[in-house]
Amino acid sequence: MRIDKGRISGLQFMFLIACYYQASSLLTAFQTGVTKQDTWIMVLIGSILSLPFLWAVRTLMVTFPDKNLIQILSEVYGPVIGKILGLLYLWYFLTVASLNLMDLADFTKGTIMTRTPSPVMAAVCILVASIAVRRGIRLVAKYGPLFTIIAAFIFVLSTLLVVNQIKLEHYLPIFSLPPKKYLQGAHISTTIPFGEHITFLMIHPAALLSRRDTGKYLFLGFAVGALTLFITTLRDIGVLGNTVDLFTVPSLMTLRLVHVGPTISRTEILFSVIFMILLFFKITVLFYVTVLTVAQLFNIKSYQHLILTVGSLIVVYGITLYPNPQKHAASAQEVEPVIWTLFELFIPLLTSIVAKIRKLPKVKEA
Amino acid sequence: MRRRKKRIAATLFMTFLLTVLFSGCWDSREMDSLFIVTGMALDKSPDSDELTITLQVGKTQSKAASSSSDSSSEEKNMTILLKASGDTPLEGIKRLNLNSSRALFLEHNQAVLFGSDLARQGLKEYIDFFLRDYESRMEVPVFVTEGPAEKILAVDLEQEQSTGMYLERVIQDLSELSPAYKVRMLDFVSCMRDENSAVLIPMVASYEEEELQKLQICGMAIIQGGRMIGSLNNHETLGYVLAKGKAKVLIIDAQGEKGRALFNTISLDTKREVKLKENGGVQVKYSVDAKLGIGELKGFADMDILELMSELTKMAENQIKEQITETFEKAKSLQADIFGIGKEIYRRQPKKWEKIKDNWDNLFSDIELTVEAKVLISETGKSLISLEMQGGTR
Amino acid sequence: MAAVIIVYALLALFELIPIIKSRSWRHIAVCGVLFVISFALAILLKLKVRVPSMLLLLGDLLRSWHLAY
Repeated sequence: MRIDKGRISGLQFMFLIACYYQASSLLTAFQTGVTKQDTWIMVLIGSILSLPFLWAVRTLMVTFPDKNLIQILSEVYGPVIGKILGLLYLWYFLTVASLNLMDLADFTKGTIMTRTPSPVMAAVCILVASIAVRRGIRLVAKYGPLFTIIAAFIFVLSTLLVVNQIKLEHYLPIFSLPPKKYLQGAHISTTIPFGEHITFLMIHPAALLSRRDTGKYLFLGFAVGALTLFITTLRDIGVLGNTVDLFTVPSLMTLRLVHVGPTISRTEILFSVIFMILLFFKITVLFYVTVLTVAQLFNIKSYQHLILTVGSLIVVYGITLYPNPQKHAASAQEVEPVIWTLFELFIPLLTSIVAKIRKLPKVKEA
Repeated sequence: MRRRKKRIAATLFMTFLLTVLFSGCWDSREMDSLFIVTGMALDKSPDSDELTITLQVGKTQSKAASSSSDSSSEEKNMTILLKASGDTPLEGIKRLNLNSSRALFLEHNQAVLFGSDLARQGLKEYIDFFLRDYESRMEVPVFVTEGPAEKILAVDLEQEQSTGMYLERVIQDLSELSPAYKVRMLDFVSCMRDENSAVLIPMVASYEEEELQKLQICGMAIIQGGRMIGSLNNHETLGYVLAKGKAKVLIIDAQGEKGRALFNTISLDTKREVKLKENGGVQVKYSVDAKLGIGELKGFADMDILELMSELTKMAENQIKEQITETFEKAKSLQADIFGIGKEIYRRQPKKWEKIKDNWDNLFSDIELTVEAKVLISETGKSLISLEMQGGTR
Repeated sequence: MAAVIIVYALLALFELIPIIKSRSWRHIAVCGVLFVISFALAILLKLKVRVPSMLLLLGDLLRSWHLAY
């Protein structure tokens, strides 16, 4: 907060979290590829498993109400280790931001604008996002409530429209896959959609939160997002059945199949719109967090002039990350859960324990 | 002042940049530069191992600007047929794109037709394009045609502009009768993923009546493992529809000793029980619960209403039982699990399925089938008695 | 290629120059390094050089340690 003087209300904080998680509910392909028709169970288990780590994040937020993640790391682990961990987190935020940006660009390129090169779409997105980031967290979080409500509306509508196509036998057989897949599935579910709560540790200093409210808004936002993801997965499996693991974006297929009477069909435009809106929001948040991390790490008082540079880095770095979709999917299913576990689960838990042990924050005389 | 000028310049620049970049001009596609495909047919080439792809394309202009000497009708053919051959569907489409003035637009495709030759050879290798291309939709109904599929597309129908749209509407109507008729590409793929199930796809044939060409649905093709192994005619299809249940506007035609009766279905529910026996055999029991209304009676001379009711109930029940059994026997003879019994065992008892799935073809042809039908005739239409019955004429 | 150079030149114009004017050593260093990395990657990509992906490299490393699925 030292760097960005803007403040957001607790409610806006909650909507930011909810919108962020809702964005994750749109990209379920890497989960359905592993656990197929049992993916909904994995989502449920993943959301439950991530709760203790969410609690660790809440503890950190409450213990250090006006310090963001980098500051917390410095304080808990000392300046040297704290800075090293901070650099690691910089890499983490940069990577997650780039991955999401590339998802948005590739989706747009594949479905709507097939001849526009994906870097162009990515650059345009970053350009628009940079306008928000320039103004600080106030503008970044401003549209959170609106987007969340639009997303919820479209989500409910789209689910109702396909209810007549859901067949219960598509969920069978249950638990017939090898056990390793279930372990992998639960791990993926805990880290990739739900584990990104660490991002909010960079934002919470800007939110006017009382001790009680922190937990309330954090878990409420999480609940909205988790519910969306759970019901989306249930719906997609119910409609697509044994073809759910064939498609790169299952929810798009589900909405394509909507056929209520002669008029209501071909509704995938709804999905495309909400996909772009939500993912754009998520990218803006991640972009902001990355810029803030850079500024905080290197003690730069004003981050205004860093924005476009970091933005260009996100775009270019994103292009280098995954040259083709197969490697993307394989990596997302096999490698990413392991890497993210360190950043999302292990370090926050460890930090909150160490903070407790060291009886931080040391109360300074006013 | 300088700062303000800089800001205005920057804003203008950004506006310009975003306007240009957001208009999607890279990907602009205008209506008059598109060929809107309304029907797609895949056939086996008669002289080579390749595929013939025929696309039915709608003309987007209202008036066909032709100054030909054709004085017959003004609004003749509103569609064009494009044909190409290639090893795979995408290759054929690529060739068509090369030689045409417009880009092909597949999003509005109404029907996909497979020629029976191609279906008998095997369809699995040609489906990949439909799965991958973002433009081709998974809810397109699929058909198998009797004879070459391109002939079906070429049929010049009276009431519809394009055969693709006609077929799509026919299937939409038939799906009111029973959801079994509408087989979408997605359902087709879903069934093909199960190696042990067979899928039924509507068959289309063309015929001539008084010099007018017409199309009709002449039955269902049985496709197993992507290959067509047989077909059901319309009569046998009814048996399949009855076994699937959920039929709505169905007419059951029963012939008895005393006369012939046609019934309207008010409701039809079918329950199925699949039991795996100890010795590995499979027992299937169908229980049909139907509420029928009398549509038409012929014969039944001098019967009174109570006798008639019991006679009709018996006739209807026997008819249902016979039809289901007949279709099932045909499926058994072809070793084609069109009823999805294997799939049900896999879903409910996956461990037992693992043991028997390799022998499924044999097990399927040895299934013990029992059909029970319970019919309640709850309506007789406008009139209670027919003229031929007792009390009909005085 | 020209587009890349123009874009980065504009970027330098709008972002780097104000920073250099502010004379904050740390600020210039950080922004400069990030700019150089970004520019270098962009040029490499445009020249069709296969830039190795960090995530894929990490993935291979983890696989060799048997830590991946």
